[in-house]
Amino acid sequence: MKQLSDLLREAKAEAPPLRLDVDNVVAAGRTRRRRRNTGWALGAVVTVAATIAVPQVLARPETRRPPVVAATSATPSSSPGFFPFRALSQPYRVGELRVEEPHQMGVDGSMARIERDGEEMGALWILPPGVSNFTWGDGVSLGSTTVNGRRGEYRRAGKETGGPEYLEWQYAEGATALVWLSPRLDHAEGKAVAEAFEPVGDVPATVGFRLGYVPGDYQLMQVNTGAAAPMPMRLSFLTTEAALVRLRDDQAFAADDELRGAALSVSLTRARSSRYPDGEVECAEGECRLWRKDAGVLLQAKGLPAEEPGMKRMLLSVTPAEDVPVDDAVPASARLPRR
Amino acid sequence: MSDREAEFREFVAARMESLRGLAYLTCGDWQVAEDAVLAALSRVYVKWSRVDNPDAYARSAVVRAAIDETRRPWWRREKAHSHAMPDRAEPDATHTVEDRLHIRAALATLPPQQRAVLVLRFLEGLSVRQTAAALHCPEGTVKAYTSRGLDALRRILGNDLEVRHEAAV
Repeated sequence: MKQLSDLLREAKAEAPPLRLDVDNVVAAGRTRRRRRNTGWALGAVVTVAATIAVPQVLARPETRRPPVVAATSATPSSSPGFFPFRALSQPYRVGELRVEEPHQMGVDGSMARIERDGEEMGALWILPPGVSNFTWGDGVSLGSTTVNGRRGEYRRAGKETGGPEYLEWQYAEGATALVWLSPRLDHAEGKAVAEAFEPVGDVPATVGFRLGYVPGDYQLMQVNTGAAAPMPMRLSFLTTEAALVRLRDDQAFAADDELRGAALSVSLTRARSSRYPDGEVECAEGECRLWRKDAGVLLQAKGLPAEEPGMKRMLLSVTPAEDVPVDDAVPASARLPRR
Repeated sequence: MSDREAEFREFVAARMESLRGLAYLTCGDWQVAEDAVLAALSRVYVKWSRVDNPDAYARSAVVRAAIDETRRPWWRREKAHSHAMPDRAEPDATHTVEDRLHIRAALATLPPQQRAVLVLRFLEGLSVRQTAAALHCPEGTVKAYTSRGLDALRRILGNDLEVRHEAAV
């Protein structure tokens, strides 16, 4: 007889080494407390402002214009010919909810957290115009609605009851957006967030470091800016072959272990202390780490074990800096050409 | 450093590894598990002075964070990247390793909330009521998920699977 408790204990054995330590947790906690306090302060300001502004708004005729997609498809002058990593939304408030600045930008759009009192409630995902190759398998419709006069649909991802739900709508011709719902963000609130969204143009993603070297033919696919603490700042890459499949057919990519395996990422976490030696790259089983005491950062790279020499060189090529546009943070050889 | 922060640091140092294991069993991905632990413990930090039972509070926060991670729209991509990495080289090819891979594969077939229920009940030894409190759901849901989860595991792992709390299901 096999005891389930023994099997469960066994299932979590052979864990990889922890990336983070107590300092990282405390730093994330302090950031969260600061964000909560800021959120409450902002809420108070908005409440006062709303009290003053509401009579004026009510007295004015409806002047809301239909959304216009401005410059999201424009090629930024700093990176001619490369895929732009841009924020497609900006922070805004809807009642008690606050949509944060996007923390993740990728080939499939930008993502921002939706918070209430500093707690994550859902996410706003804006796809660039013309991009619609994302899929969530055999999802089911939960009913249709309208968002600013355009058709929208509540859906559940996957057939499984209790699967994640979202509101999908067209914010402009050929341009799709999603509000990811949760047990703490219902359909009506999701719709309110959708209706208050206004597209923004050319806001480049920034990160806190420059990479001087990226191994092989890896192409940048996704940027996590670190704005959504405690998620670390992270750049994620795929080989050119995997990137092309990913762009052409997301489901084929998701179903192919070999293509998914052709991935590599580098992340930066603030760390004043670390268990790792200062200035020395340590690699094991596809993970490399470098703690830089001078800059107070822990750099980590993850990829196939065969890529460890390249990852080591990549970590040593990192220069910490503030607010570096992604266009300038990665060598041109690792940037996807625009199609 | 205040006494409270020193207490919190001690707690994290002692519990982070086991909480990560709990999150891993819930979400099936070490990287996502670590993100969940960090997210949950940063919340615990904010409420530390008001928490009566840190172990129970952190356990509940971590498991719910791990479930939330799997519901995030970006999770699948994160998972894909994280899964891109081959499993660690195993030290040998004994039955232990086989069991480990088998139970991991079996757990992966269950929805995260069912996994969480099984882990809390049969690894952490919580009662139905305690599990319901930890997951913020009705006791009936815990009973239903326990039953469905065990059925699914038995279909995959065989009927010789033994559970200590089955009488309470």
